[in-house]
Amino acid sequence: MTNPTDEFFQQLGHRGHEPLVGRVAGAMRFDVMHRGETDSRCLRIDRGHITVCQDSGPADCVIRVERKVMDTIVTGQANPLAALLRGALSVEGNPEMMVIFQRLLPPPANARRASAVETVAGW
Amino acid sequence: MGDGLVRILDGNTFVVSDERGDIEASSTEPTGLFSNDTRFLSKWLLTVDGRRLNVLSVDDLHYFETRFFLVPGTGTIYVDAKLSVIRRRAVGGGFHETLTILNHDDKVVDLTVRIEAASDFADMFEIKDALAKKGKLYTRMEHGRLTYGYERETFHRQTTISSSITADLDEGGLTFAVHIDPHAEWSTDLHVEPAMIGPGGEGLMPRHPDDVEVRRDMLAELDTWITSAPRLDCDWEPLQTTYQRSLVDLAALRFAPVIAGPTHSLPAAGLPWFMSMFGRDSILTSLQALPFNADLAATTLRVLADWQGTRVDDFRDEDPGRILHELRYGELVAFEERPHSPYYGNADATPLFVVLLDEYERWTGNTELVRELETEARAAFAWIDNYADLMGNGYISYQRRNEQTGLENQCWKDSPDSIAYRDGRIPGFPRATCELQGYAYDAKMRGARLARLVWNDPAWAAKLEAEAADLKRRFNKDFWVADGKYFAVALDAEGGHVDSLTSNIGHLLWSGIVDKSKAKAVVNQLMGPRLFSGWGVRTMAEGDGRYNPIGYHVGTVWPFDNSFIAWGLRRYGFKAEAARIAAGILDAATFFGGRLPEAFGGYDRSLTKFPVQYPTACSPQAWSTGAPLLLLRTMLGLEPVDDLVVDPALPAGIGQLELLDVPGRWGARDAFGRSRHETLQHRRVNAPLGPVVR
Repeated sequence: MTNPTDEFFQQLGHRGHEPLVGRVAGAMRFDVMHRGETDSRCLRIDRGHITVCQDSGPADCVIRVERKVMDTIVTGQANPLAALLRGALSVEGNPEMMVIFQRLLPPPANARRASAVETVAGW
Repeated sequence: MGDGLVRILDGNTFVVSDERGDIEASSTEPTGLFSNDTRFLSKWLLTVDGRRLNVLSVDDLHYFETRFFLVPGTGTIYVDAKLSVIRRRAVGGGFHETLTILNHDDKVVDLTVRIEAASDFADMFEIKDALAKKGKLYTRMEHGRLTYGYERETFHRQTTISSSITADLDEGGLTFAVHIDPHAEWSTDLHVEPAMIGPGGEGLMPRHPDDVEVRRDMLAELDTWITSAPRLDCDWEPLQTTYQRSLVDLAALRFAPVIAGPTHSLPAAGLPWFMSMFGRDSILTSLQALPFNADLAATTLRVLADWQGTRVDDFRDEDPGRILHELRYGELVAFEERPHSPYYGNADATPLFVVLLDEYERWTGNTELVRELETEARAAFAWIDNYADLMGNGYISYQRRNEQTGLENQCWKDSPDSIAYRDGRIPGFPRATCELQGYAYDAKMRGARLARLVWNDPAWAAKLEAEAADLKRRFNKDFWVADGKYFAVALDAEGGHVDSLTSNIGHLLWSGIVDKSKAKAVVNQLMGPRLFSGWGVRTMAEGDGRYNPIGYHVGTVWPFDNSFIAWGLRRYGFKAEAARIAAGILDAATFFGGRLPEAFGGYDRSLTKFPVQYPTACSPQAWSTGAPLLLLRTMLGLEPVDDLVVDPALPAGIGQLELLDVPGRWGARDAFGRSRHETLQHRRVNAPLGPVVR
């Protein structure tokens, strides 16, 4: 049952306050498709406060994507803009929200330098 | 244009053709219809009765619209004037062409008119690097439309060609059987629409509304842009031409990135290869344009903040807090074969981002945007202090982590031999170029001002100022080449001087990092015969090992570079020297119809008498377009304090210079400059300003 996309949204729900997304307010909906079925999730961002719910209601920004693609994005293996340009992901509504959303994604596995400068306060 | 190519554009959609309006692209020729970094049309050839046409004239109506006047050719010098052909072409959403044929004869004519078309869907990077396609091309003819397409997995691009008069379609183009009565005309509207196709056949990007609507809006928009800019009045006529050219070209180079929404635009870097968002170019051009239009700066700040790096990614040379270098939309980026989604490999845009944020507030008084971007500004400083100090010596340095497709030189002089020792050797990596330290110093001083004024954090302000003071003290000791009396262009990995003499020292004046006691020596170098050519300051001094008057960054004169050097000279009180640079660059502009090229040769002015353009495909270029604007600022000595401060110092050939309705936190103010020099009553107002300041 469990997959990277589910895990990502679950963890996002526990993140609570996230200053990285402090500049935006609004709702994003992810329509994640898998074997012909669509699983919708709603992500509300309000001045850095994040809540996640299962909801297919209207949103400011709607992302539609196959789960196998979403799995690679939420694990840092694929880049969302590249996926959009490839036609593997679509964005409706306010695209700026998708740009800001990328800040919540983990780094890719290629990062050799990650350990050298691990934490910068607040970022 | 000088190269026989005609370019029209709207945002990042543009057409490059020959003077007949024909497109005949080879794998290396940059002609075609381009949109979002992809070539959607690689062939567009018009024939009448199987023959190509001859050009009578090309009428550039606007940057997005042009008209070609053609006649059928016989291959001799005589022209058969019984027929005229007019192609009126506009870019806006797609590409529209109204093809009109006039019959001047008193007999009926029957003609075969054909347009040969093709699309290779080449990615800009493929054209530059001559790479082959990996996906499949297709052609379809349905509902009277000719469609070319390209698919690779889920990647799908399409070009659709339609005509208001029914054509016979085949895979290679459109054919019209044309019958024209005596003294009558025939006309058809051709429409070429590029499409990026997403899941379910929907468009990836927001569509443009109705075509006609677009054309009308663009005209009105250009008109508003021109009329809302300050008005210039000057007794030296060429400056009027250069100013108008700059305003129109800057309008043309505006680019609305998908995420900024269609009503917000920022300066793209240049046509044709660089119609995209570049951190450095967008910031520097926005700085140059601030006294004339502050909206470009606001959009640049917002969009660059949105895309600020948040993680460590070696492929993209991304770090938390780093401001992007370049964003692209083509196939190679889509498949992550190139890192521009976006690519972060530059070492200057991050401090310059803070410099622009402060300068924007100083002009506009808009503290709201500054407040909104506090997190991003703090992250920029975190990048400077933690990620950019690769050598652990307290200086910004760079070394790419993407060794396949990343950039080696991550400063504005990004060609391989630009950073060199006096004897011509090239240093290893990392490299800490000097101007980066200047930008970091300026960013900290300006950040401190904003921390007190807007972010309500005086403790942090004090900390930033202390860090800036420490950086300045160390820099003036560590970078100073004592035997030459100038600052080294860089420190190498061992902390040694990379000791060629370069224009970079002018940027140091601009940033304020130079000790007052050393300023005079730096100015003497900038205005001395090794660096100053008579037209401007060379990128590298004559006599250094790598010096070449037509070497990209090792001897040419860059107008943008000079505009910032002039700003630096003003900052340290060297008014006459700043005016001398303005005179040289503005004189050079008159040789290019007011459109300054990216760079011109570093030959001495007394040797060539005219500036020798560096051979490049990039014109107009944003920061060259912005150079005359910044020079107007430095000549008038404009400084935004609470009110607009004006402290003019004009070149000898300009008697009077007025900039009316300069917008800012004061509303609108007029700035007047009168020459201190005696001007002749009946002097020629077009004469060159000359290399000498009297």
